[in-house]
Amino acid sequence: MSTMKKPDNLVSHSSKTKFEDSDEHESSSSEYVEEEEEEEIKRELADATFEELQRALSDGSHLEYRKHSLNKKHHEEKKPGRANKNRPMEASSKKPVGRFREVVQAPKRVIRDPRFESLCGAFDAKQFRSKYNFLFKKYDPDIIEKERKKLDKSKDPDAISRFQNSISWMKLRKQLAKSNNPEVIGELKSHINWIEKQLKSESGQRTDAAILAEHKKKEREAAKKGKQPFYLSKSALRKQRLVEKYEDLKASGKLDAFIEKRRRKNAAKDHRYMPYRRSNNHAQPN
Amino acid sequence: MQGERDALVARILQEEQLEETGRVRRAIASRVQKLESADEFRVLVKHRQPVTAVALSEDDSKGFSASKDGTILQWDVVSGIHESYRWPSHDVLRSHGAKDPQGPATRHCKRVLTLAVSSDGRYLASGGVDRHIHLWDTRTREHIRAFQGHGGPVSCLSFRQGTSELFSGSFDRTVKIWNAEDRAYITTLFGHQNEILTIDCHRKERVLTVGRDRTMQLFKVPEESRLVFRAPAFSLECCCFVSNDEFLSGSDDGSIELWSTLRKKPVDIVKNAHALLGANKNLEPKNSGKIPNGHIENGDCGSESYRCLSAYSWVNSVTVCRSSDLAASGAGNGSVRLWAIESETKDIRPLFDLPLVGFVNSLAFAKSGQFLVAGVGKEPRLGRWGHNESAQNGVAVYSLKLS
Repeated sequence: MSTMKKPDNLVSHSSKTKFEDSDEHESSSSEYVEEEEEEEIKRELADATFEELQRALSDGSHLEYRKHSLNKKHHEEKKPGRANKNRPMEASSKKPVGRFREVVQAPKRVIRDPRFESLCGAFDAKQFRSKYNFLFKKYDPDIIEKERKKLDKSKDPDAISRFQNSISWMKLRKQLAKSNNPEVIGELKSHINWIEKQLKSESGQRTDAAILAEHKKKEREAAKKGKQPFYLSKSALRKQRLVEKYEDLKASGKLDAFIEKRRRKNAAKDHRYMPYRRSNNHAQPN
Repeated sequence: MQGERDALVARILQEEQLEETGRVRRAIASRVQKLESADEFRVLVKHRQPVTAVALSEDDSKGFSASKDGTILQWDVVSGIHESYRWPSHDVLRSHGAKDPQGPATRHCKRVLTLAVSSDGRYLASGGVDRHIHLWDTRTREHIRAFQGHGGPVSCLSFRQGTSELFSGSFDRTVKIWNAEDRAYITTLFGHQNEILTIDCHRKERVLTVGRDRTMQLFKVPEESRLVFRAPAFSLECCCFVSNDEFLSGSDDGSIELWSTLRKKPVDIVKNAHALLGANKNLEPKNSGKIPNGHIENGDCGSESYRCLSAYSWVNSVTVCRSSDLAASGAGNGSVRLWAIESETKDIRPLFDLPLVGFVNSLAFAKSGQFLVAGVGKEPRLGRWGHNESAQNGVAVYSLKLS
């Protein structure tokens, strides 16, 4: 006896398909009636469109009969982990295992790049400058001598190391003077050049951060007096940088040379846009 | 009167049942008396080549031994009278299921590496280099069947107590289960990553194996899972059950470990159990540490630290008297050591040293605990890493004096 559940909109309300009621009537003639009803159901299913069938399936009622088998599968697949990490490992004995094995148990080397390591914190330019200021100070041999004399009296280990760090490039120069090996000379030269470039870029002009800081200070003082504080825009910052550069050059007396170079460069660039001379051979109208 | 006797009988039967299933342990170790100078291992049966395996029947009357040239002998424990098992002809072997040996294996294919006898005493199984497991009838000493299926030499065999289930471990890293009664192959168990050296099984369907990949695995056959126990640094050579939850193993650095199913590392380790003593210096090879062109070998150590690094110190066999706390271990350093396994403190206590010259490749205790049988040879069981000329190839027996 088919006990399929059909949603109401599918079941045509005819007296013949009320088979659920007819279950209770168990008479000998009911068998013939059942067959007839089955035929009816089959015909109805054949007539029903796919959409209706889909809706009937999505009801979820067809899953009731599969629930039992699903539950069983779940229980079989779930394997509890070991109770304690000191217990032996449990594994399946039916899966083949490869020949590979750790011959030497070497500890895994964890690579920590401080640039990407979250534990090292974010980079703060101001803090970096204040801490590692000694790298960027201008090196004057007299000052170094004075500092050295001071050090000999102090006997402070940290001060000594700091001093040594700050004159590392001078040591490199000494090494260069001593060595004969061309490879070593090449290496040392490039290393010294690199350090000198860094020193050069730090000395002289102030950085944008410094300009901004100064501006902020000014604005803060003005705000105290009641003025509305303004943020320094990029163009203003550039202008300030240029102004400061001019001041520096004027002070050192290289302003003329700088302006001349600038003019020449701009002229060379503008040269592209100048119309070029046409030759006289071409016939000119008029 | 009747009631009392019945109660007594019931108690005795219950005790026996508990012992059989491994739940109660007989305290034999404390009863072993100190050996006198006259007590020694007595050679029972002689073999031409080193003995690789020794097995005892359940009733302690018959013993079986096999050697490297393929001879299998069955002997009476008391008298020492022995009969040999004859290998059938090539055609008979083929009819019993064997496959032809291929290539260079033909010369050494008869080499037997292991033996196992069933609890009812009817079947004897032998396995060797020819990758087959040969089943023999003990009453007629005839070859019954040859099981083929292993991909490498069969290095260890064990019958499950009370049944005719046979477990075999081989160099192809698998354990196969067979049924001797039905002459059938049942299934294969995987898990080891290198050659399997020893197997052991008691009444339960749980198989203990030890391999060169430095692990010991307990296969739970009905649940299709295995527990993995790892040895710290050394390779394990032999293993045996003490009870259903405790195991004993010997390793190739001369130490003996006691394991429990609750810990992945050994519960107790006895280091230098079979150290090479100074008096045995003549056992060391003459040109120790020097290769023929006069240079010193890599990793060579001085003779003082040579104690446990040579083949003479490898613990080739370890065995426990059934459902008791008495254990014995054998190596090539000249003595068999008896141990007591304490159940409360979970440690191994040394009892006595029994002198026996040669490589002790196999040990077996009598079920009653009356004697200990050792298979001795001039060379280790699986290879020729050492040679002791003063040893005698054969089976030696030592009767234990219990107070």
